[in-house]
Amino acid sequence: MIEAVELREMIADGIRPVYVAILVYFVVLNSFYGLLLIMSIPELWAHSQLADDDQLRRVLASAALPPLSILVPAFNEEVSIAESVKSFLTLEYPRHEVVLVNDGSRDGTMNAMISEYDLYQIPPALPVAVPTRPVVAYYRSRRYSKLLVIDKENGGKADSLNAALNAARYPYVLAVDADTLIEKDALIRLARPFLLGESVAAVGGSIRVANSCRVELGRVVDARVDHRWLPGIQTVEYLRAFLFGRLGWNRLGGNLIISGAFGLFRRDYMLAIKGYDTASITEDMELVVRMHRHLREHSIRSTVLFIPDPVAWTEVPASPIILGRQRERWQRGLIATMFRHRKLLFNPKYGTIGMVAYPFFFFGEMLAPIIELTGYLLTIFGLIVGAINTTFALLFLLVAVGLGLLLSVGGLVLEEFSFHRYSRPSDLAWLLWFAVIESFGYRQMTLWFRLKAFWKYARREHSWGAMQREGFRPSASATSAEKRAVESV
Amino acid sequence: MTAEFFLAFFAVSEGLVVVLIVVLLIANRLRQKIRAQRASGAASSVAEPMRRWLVGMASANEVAVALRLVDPETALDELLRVVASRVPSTQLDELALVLHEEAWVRDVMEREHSRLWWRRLDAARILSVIGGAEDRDRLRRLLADRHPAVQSAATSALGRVADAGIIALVLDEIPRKSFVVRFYQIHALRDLWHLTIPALVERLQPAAQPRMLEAWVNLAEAIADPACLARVLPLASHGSAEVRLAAARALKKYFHTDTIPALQALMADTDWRVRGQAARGLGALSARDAIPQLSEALGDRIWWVRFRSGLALAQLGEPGRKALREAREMDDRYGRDMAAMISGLSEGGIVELAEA
Repeated sequence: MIEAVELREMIADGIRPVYVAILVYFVVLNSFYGLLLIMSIPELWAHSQLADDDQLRRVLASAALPPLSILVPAFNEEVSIAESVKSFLTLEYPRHEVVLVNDGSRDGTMNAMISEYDLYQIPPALPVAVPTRPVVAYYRSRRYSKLLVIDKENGGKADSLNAALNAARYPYVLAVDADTLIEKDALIRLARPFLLGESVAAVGGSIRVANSCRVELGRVVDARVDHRWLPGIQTVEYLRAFLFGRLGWNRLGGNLIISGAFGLFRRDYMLAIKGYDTASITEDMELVVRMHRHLREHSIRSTVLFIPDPVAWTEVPASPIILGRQRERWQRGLIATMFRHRKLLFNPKYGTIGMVAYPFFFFGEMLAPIIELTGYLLTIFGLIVGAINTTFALLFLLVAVGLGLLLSVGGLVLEEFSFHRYSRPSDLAWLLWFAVIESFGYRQMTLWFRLKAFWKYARREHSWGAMQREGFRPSASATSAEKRAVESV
Repeated sequence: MTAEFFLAFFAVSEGLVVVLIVVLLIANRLRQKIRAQRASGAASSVAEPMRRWLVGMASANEVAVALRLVDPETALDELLRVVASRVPSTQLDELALVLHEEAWVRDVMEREHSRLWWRRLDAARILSVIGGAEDRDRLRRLLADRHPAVQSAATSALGRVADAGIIALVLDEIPRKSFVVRFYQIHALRDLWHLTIPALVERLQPAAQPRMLEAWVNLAEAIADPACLARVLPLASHGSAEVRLAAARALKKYFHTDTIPALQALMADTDWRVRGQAARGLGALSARDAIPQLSEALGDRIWWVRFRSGLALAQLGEPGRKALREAREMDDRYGRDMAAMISGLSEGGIVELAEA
């Protein structure tokens, strides 16, 4: 009969290699995040110099800018669609059009558009380069010549974007969500890499959290940090993800994600890869990965960039249920994209994308929840059977929390030293507080959502999950100002 | 060293770094506040002498003294702001002469050798305000900078330096520049037409490289000076379709008796883009003599040529409209459809589409 001590030692010997592997994974992953943070510093500095250069801004705002089409998919947006479209139409840009696609809404979205914009039906004389669900009708506005509305059968967001892509007239297309609040000069800033002659296939801008911000006429006029824990922590999360995550990737071979809520693409490349994949639930990431493949496979020396100063604001989930749906969908989409394009993994043919970015997303993002859970379970098990020293486990937890905190605070430092949108001292204090509490509860909750995604992916579930929004906080003078603006347009 | 000791050391270090960062963030907030106050104070201390100088109540020396007292970045920003308010060139020459001797100005100009492009940008920016003939070589180097932002800023200094050799250099490099720099340089060269035209005329030779010719013809289109017309006309029969296309596009800017026959000849070009642009040019020049050719082009096999020809006819007043009405009875189905579509457009629509 084996003694208890011997059994404990046997278990300890058994789990030790797994534990060491998790430790190595932890060190490598965090070192890589640290590298991204370091890489992002010169990028951020260069972009903030360009963003501040008045002379360059004057040139950029001139007729040198290429015309672009804004693609807006809309589904059941009756309440806000008229205002959203108006904010897109009134963006500062010398030549742009708005292509709105009503994706078979079941509410009064289409009627709201017809009455607000005085729409009239036009013949369906537009080329169909990417097949979509049948289009019911095309409309133009009698009041705004740069508005095109497509009413089509429901086919999802990707299908709507494809319909808009078909109808877009201009060589660059900007995909946005109907509820995204784009800053007035964001388009001019977003077009900068194309104008500076950089070889770019797509450019993504920053997404920031709009909850609690003051909104006037579809624009954020006063940036504030939401004091509630869920939107507050997501504010820190977005700053970290955009300011050093994506910026760092610019120096490491290009971004693998451009947010579907705010990304500018070359239309010819999008048509070459047949637009968005309607089977994907994270069509934005899938599109960018496919675009990278296309560029590499056809030896096109273009990259996918992120630039931090064009800003769009979005509302993030304020309830755990809605957040859960969102994060579970993102993770499910990530898993699907990673498996679909697994050919890229450590494939030198795809350059740094195949050798660095893709493996990072595969191991560092997709598999992270499983490895993290294994780490938690193994630690608890090790503590119960006495295979792991309690002091060691607690210190390791402290180091892990500290590293997470350092990365979050790193994102805040970048924000503070560059664009500095949150000007109130109290906002800075709140951001620091949310960076501290992120590791206690929020992180474990999102881990659970991401783990659920594996289960749903295995069961081949393809649902999006309903997203409910609270709406933006208007300013006191918004209503009267809105009336004035509408009258003056 | 045990694992526990290492982890404890690491955790304490992390804690210290976080505390340091928080202190840094707070200090940065304070620094920004102080800097904003100082910058505002500095700007207002410069603003008064500048304002008095602008209305002729102060000398350039007083401005130079005021600028000397603020940091170079604020001084540079203030100078650029004044230029943006369009100071007469004689007044600016006087200021440039005084500032050229200032130590801070020389320091900013020396930034042209910096490894950091934003510092080189400062050198280009200051040249755009106080550059002179003696800065020729410096401007030459900045125009050839590898960063487009520096090239754009240096382009603004072309007017200050106004040197024929540099204009020639810009002309020779223009096809290789990024879109925005090229666009900006074309505008700058157009403003310096008295220096640009002789150099441009010299280059508009059929034997030149088609890529270069295309860019130069685009510039000739922007300048639209009669001196260039004699050089652009022969390019309408150039071997390269791209050059013929650029020529067809440029000719619409030249209201001259020789232009219309050249565009009429281009209506028979083998390249549909050239035919389309020629039709557009004939419409813009109100070439009523070309009505038969434009009517015939309504039956072209390419939609864009039919469209441009239809629009051109609609721009030719009643005779053009009559031709469109007649075309609605023509045998060619596509020509009939195009004539019907164009006839249905409003006057405003015709203008908008013709200029698009």
